Amino acid sequence: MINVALLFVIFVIVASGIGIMKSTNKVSLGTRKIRWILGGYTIILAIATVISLSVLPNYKNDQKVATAAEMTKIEDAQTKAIDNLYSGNLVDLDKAFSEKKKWSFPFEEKSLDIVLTEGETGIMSVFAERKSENDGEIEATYHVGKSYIDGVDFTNELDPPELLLNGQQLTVNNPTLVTVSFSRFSPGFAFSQFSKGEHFSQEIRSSVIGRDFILLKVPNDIEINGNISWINE
Amino acid sequence: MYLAEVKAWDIVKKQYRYKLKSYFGVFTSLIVIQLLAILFSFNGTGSGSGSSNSIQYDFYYYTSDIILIFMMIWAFITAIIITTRAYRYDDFSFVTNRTISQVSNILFLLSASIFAGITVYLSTHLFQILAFYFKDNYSIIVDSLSFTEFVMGMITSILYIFLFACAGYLVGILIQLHKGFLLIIPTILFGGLILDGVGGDPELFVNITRFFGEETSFILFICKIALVSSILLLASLGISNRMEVRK
Repeated sequence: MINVALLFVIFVIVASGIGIMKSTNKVSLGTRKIRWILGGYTIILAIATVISLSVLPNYKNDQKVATAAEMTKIEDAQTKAIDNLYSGNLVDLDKAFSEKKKWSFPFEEKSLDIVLTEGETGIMSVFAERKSENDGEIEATYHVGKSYIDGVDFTNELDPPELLLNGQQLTVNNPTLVTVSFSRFSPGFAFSQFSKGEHFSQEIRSSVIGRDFILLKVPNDIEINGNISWINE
Repeated sequence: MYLAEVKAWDIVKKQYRYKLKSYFGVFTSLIVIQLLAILFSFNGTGSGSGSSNSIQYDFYYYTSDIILIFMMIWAFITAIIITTRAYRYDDFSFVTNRTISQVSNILFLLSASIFAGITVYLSTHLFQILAFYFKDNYSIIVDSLSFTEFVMGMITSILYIFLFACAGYLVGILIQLHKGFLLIIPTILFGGLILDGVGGDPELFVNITRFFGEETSFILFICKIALVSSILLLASLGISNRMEVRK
């Protein structure tokens, strides 16, 4: 709808221009009146600029905006680390993921039932590895990869899942769905063409939603029932 | 040997000063078009949304893009308008020739482009502050500019506007040469765009846009604009010198 309106306005502007071109008289409101209009308009713009420059910087985005190439690199690193995890390699895990939350549960039972509840955000991926000893404790760590929306890091906005141990049953409740809505005030393509490597067609960057999972470390001799992936087993 | 020797540059300066006063009316259309552009920018100049397992998001951009594009169109039309008979005949109040008249016109267009470029930046602040206070903004991110970015952005805006003014000036001169161009130019322009897009893979418009818009070196960008503008203006000069004095 707005595109049609925009085309209409452009048509009206062009048509007016052609109309003036065909006319043999200059269109003028009188120099004095125009001076007042132009002067008034410039003053309004100057005041608006002063207000804008004093108010909007309070919301200044200090963090670096990731480029599409950087985000692709981050996404690839996360995928590679997850693939490595399936083959028991935890080496690059810290580079691609951060530990958002940790739990520790004393556990003396012989077996553990893991229940993954399906929320509005799907089912959590759970990996488990056995400890070398039986220390009577289940350790859980929620790992999350970086999430970028339009180049801005929103990882901290994401909620962690909820873990509840009841007897020998560990329930994993998925994080609640986070809704993020933001308005971005940018100067425009002419101001970013050379500084940030943005071009006409790349003004809107892509987004990357970080992958997440829970890594369980369980005592050596307990049996686990549930939809989990073992590391090195 | 004359009693009063007249230098060409002095006449250019006089004509330029005269035109700044005489063509002052074009700035009222600048205000109207800029206010329209602000109105159209108010809903955001870009937006996006998406969702994944854990997050649902939508974002809105508020940039000067629409204002700048409208100013390019304004410069294009203004340049055509100053080639019309009503404006052209004013030059004969002075001792002049075609070249002097053209140079003063070009200087006027450059001044108008500078003014338009500055007001693009200022009016962006006007609409952003309006959007800030009158729109529901859940969360706000403001991209700030360094001094270098600001200066380069301002020059870039002015050059884009001036480029369109030069193109408009050539079109105006062609129309003054022969009224048939009033029909031929839109036919070639829109017909070319339609033919280019018929195959579903438009290249001409995209390549022209890329030539300027995807240039990442500021110096090269200036060279490109200077080169294309010079070609357009030299062509205008060449054509106008072939026209009769009062046609």
